[in-house]
Amino acid sequence: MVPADDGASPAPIDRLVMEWMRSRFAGSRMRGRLYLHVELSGDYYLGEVSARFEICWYRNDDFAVHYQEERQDRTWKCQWDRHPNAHNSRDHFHPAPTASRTDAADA
Amino acid sequence: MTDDTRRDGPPPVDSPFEGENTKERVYGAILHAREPMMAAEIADRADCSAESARTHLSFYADLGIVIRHEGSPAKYERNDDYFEWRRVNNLAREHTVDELQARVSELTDQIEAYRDEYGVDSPAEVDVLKFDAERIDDIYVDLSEWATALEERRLHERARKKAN
Repeated sequence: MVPADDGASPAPIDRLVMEWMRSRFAGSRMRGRLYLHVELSGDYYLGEVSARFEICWYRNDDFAVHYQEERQDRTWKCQWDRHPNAHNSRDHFHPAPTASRTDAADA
Repeated sequence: MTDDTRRDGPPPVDSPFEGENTKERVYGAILHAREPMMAAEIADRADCSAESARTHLSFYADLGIVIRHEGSPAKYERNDDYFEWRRVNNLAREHTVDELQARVSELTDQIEAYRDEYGVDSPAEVDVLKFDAERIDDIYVDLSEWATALEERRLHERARKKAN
């Protein structure tokens, strides 16, 4: 396989890691453009909320984990990322409620 | 839309992975062994004893899932060649030559579109850090998809030759 594991970026999707994660969840599936879509159980939420994770994992162990809640009147989301960038450290967090880029914090 | 087998209510929050056994956790840890790692390191990630990790690792080495590097201590590494071979086999078995060819063409179109857009031949040649902070996350996703498309095309081409 292409030596994508030398920490070099960008790296292709790590299908195996995503399939393994998928096997940990009851309600998940792989989408066409490859990412793991995890529907969270509404039983844990007050009121009408549908919540999901969208997870991408790469062969250099970079990742993007997006969390999103659809509430009655608005969307509430945040995101954990690991990838090279000019705005923060490689590991960083985009805070809720909008997963804002400008307010991202190093992790 | 989801697997219905386990949808009889949410699992308890305090032990979400209760059903998971050591063998599965060792497998999960192996996937991140992108360079040779000691059994003790893998055990640490899999939350099990080094002894137990060694037992499972030796089984996975027999299957070809990990490469065992002899030495003291021995080290283990995810065997990408094995996983690639398995993927190519599955593609060749599940698709016709025409389907594989169609997918190769589709991926080639995607790859050419990325080349045109970024003006270089491979995603590695693009310096992500040169782009505005505002756009960098999207560009990174783009470049990773480009890298994925290149790999997918290679695997689909191998499968097409095999299916012939």
